[in-house]
Amino acid sequence: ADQWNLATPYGDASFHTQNTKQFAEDVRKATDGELDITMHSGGSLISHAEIKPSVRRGTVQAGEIFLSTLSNESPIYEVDTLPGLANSYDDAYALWQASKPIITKLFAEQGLMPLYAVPWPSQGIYTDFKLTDADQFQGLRVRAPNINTQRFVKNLGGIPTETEEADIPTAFSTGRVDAMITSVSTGKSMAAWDYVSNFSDANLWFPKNIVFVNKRAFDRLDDTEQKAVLDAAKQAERRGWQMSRDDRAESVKALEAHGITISKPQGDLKKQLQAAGDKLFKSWQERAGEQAKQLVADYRQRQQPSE
Amino acid sequence: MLTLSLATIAALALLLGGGVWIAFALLGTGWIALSFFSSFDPGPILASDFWGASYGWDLTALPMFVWMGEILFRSGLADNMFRALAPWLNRIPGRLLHSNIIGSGLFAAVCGSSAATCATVGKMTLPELERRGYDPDLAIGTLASASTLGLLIPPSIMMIVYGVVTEQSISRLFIAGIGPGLLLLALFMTYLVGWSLLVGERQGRAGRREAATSFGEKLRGSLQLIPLLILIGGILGSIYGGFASPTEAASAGVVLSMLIARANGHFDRAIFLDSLFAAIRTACMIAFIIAGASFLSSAMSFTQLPMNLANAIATLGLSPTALLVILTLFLLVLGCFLDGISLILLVTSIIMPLIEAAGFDLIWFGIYLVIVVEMSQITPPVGFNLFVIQGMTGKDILTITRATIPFFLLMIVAIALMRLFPGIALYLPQAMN
Amino acid sequence: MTFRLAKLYTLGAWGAAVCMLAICGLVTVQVVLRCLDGLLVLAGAERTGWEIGGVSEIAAYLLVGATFLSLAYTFVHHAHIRVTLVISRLPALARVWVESACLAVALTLAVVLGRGLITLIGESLEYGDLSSGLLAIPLWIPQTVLALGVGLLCLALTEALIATLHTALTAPRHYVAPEQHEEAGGE
Ligand code: NA
Ligand code: NA
Repeated sequence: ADQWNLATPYGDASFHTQNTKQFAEDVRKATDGELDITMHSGGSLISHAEIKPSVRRGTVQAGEIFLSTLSNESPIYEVDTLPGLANSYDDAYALWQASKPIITKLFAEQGLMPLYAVPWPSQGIYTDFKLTDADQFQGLRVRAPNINTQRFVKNLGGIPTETEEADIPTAFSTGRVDAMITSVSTGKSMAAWDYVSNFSDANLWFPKNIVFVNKRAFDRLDDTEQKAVLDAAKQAERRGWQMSRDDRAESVKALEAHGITISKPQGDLKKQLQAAGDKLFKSWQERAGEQAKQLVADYRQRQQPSE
Repeated sequence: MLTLSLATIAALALLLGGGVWIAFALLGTGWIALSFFSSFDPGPILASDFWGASYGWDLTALPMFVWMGEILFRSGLADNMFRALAPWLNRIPGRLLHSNIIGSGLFAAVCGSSAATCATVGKMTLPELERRGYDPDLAIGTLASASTLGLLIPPSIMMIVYGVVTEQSISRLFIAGIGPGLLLLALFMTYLVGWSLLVGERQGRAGRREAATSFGEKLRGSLQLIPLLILIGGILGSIYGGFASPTEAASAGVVLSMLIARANGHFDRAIFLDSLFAAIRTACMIAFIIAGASFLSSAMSFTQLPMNLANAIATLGLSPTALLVILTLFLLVLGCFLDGISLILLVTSIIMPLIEAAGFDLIWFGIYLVIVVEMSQITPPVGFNLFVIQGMTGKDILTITRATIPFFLLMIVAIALMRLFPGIALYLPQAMN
Repeated sequence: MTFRLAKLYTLGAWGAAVCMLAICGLVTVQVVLRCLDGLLVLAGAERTGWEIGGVSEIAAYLLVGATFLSLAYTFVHHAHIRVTLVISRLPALARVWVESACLAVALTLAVVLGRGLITLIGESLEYGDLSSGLLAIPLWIPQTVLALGVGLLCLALTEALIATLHTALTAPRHYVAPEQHEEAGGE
C-alpha cells in the first residue's frame, strides 16, 4: 500500500479543501485503500510558498496552490487573472482547457503533473459606496495583491495598494484601503460586511487553484492506482467547478443577508472596466509572446459562440 | 504512538538538560522524530522548513520592537517613567510591579506578538524593578504572563491565523479579545495586590514605601511621562489613523523612539550602535529558536503524532464541557512542545468539526484558543516568553517558569469564567451587529 | 575563549545591521509618505498614493539577513540561550566533556542544515524560483544569505569545539565554562 501526503494552504471551511478531501476519499475507495492520501489543510504541514518546491522534491507527493502565485515564472500563469478575458464559468472553463496543455508542459519541466484545477467565483469590486462610474476610481485606494490587479487599478485611475491578506480588516477600518477586488466567496469568508457595503459583480476574472503531483511518485504507482488517481481527478474537476458555482450562489445570499448591496456594472462603467482590461490584455500578449497567441487563439475557438 | 511520544520527550529532555542550545535541541529532536518514526528523509525537510520560517513580512515586527526596547532602555525613559509613577502607585499594594502588567496591556495594544511585547516592556521594567528592590520572581512572573496579552489584545498574529483558516471575521475576533484581555489584566493585578498584602509587604519584597508627596509634586513628576505617552500615542495613532499597518508601526516606533530619546538627551552614535547590536543578538536568538520550533512542529506533523492524539479525543464522544476540559489539558501538554501557530493549525484542521458540532461559538472558541496559546508561551521547554526573559536576565528557564505558575493558574480561571459567562468575549462583537 | 575569526563574525553582524536599517528605513519612508499624503488631502489636494512598490516583499527577505547573518556573532557573545541548570553544577573535568559533546551535536546539526540549504539553493537556481510578489526576487539570493549565516555559525562552532577539546585533553581541570567566564568579567 502507498501512503501519500497532500498539502493545501486553504482551510477546511473552503469548498476547495472539501473538494480535494473528497478526491482523496475517492482514490482510497477506488484502490481499496492501496493508495491512501492524507490531506494536510490550512498550511498545517507546509506553507503556501513552499508547497510546490516540496512536491517537486518529493517530500510530499501532492499539493494544491493558487495558480497565479506562479505568475513571475511565466506569463502563461497570468492568464486566469486577466480582467475581461473570460467573463463566465463557460468561458473560464474554455480558457482552462486551452491553457492546460501549456501548463502541463511547464509543470513537466519541473517533474510535476497537474491533476485538476478549480476556479474561485469571479472577481468583483468591494467598496463602501455604490460604484456607478469609473470616475469614482480617481484617487481610490484599491487593494491590489498582484501585478495585474495593480496595472488594472492604475488603468482605471485608482491607486493600487499593497495590503497583506491578514491586514485587510485593519486596513479598511483605519482607512488605509478604500476598495478591494476579490470573489464573493472570499468576501463571505472574511466577513466583508464588517467594513464594506457594496459589491460590484463585474465578473472580472476567474482565478484557479491547481492540484498537482510529483511525476516520479505517480509513475511508481501501478496501473490501477494511476487510473484511480486520474479518474478521481476528472471527477474532482467536474465536481469542483459545480461547487464553485454553488458556493458563489450561497456566498451571494450570505453577503446580501448581511446587508451588502450587489449590483452589476452598467453602461459606461462596464465599458470602462472592459477598456482597462483590454489594455492590460494587450500588454500581456506582448510580454507572453507566441505561446500566448496560440493559447488565446485556441481559447477563442473553444469559447461558446453565444456571447 | 506511545513510543513516539516518549521518545520525543526523552530526546528533548536529554538535549535540553544536557545544555545543548535551545534552537539546536529543537532541531535535533525533530531530526530524531523524523529519522526513527517516519519514512521521510529529514534533510530536505529541515532545510526547506528552516528556510520557510526565516522570512516573512509580519515577522519583521519582532526585531523592530526588540530594537525599540533596546533604545528605550538606554534612553533614560524607563527611569523617568518609574520616578513619575512611583508616587502614584505608592499606596497601592504591589506598587511598581503593576507597571509590568499595565505596561504589557498598553504595549499589547500596539504589538501583535507575545515575545516582542515581553522583550520591549521587560527591557524597560526589569532592571528598574530590580534596582528598587522588588521581588525578582514576581517581577519576572508578572512580565512573562502579562506580556502574553500581546496575543489577546488586538492587534494579534494568532487571531489572524485563526480567523483566516476558520473563515471567522478578524475584526470581530479583535474586538472579542478586548474583554478577556481586560479580565486577565484585572486578575493579575488582583493577585499582585493580594500577594503584596499577605506576603510581600511583611517580607519587604514589595518595594519601598516612598516619602509622601503633595498632589502638585506628583503632577509635576508626571510630566516626565510625556515622552513615553507621545511614543505610545504616536504608534497607536499611526495604526488607527490609517498611516501604518501594525507591522509597519514597529519600524515607525523605532524611529520615533530614537527621536524621543534624542529629545530626552540620551541618544548618540554609541547608544545607537549599542542598541542596534543588542537588538541583533536578541532577534537572532529568537529567530533561530522560531525556526527550530517550526522544524520540530513540522516533524511532529510528518509523524502524524499530534493528529492521532487529536483524533483519539474526537472519538471519545464527550459533552461540551468535558470536551473543553480534555481539550485544554491536551493543548497545554502539546503547547509545551509546539509553537502557537502550529497549535492553532492543528486544532482548526482536526478538532474544528467537533467544536462546531458541540455548539461552541467560533469567535468564542478563537478567544479560548488564543488564551491557551498564551499559556503555551510560558510553559517549558518551548515557551518564547521564557526564552526572551532568559536572554534578558540570564536566569534559567525553569526558575522563570516557577515564577509564572500563579499567573498560569489565573489564566485557567479566566477560561473557566469565560465558559460560565461567554459574554466576556462575545458582548462586544455582538454589539457590533 | 578568544575566537580567531571574531572579526569575520562581527562582519556578519554588520551585514545584519545593514539589513535591519534597510527594513526600518524603507518602512518608515513608506509610513512618512502616507502621512504626507494624508496632510495633502487635508489641505484639499488630490490623493497622490505615493508608495514604494514591494516594501513588504523586500522587507520579508531582508529579515533573513537581519536575523541570521549574525548567528555566529550571537554565538560568540553567548546570546544563544541554553539550559545550564544541570551542567553548571558539574565539576570542570565532567563539564569540559559535556561542553564538547554539546558543541559536537550543535556542529553536526549546523553542518547538516548548511548542506541542506546548499541543496535548496541548487534547486532554486535550477528551476529559477522567484518570489511570488511584485518584485520577482530570485530566491537563491536570500537563501544564500541564510546559508552564509549558517556557515559562519559552523565556523564559530568548530573553533569552540577545537578549543574545548584541546582543554579537555590537556588541562581539563582548568576548564572554565563560558557562563562562569562571563561572570568573572571577561567575554
Ligand atoms: Na496585541
Ligand atoms: Na510552551
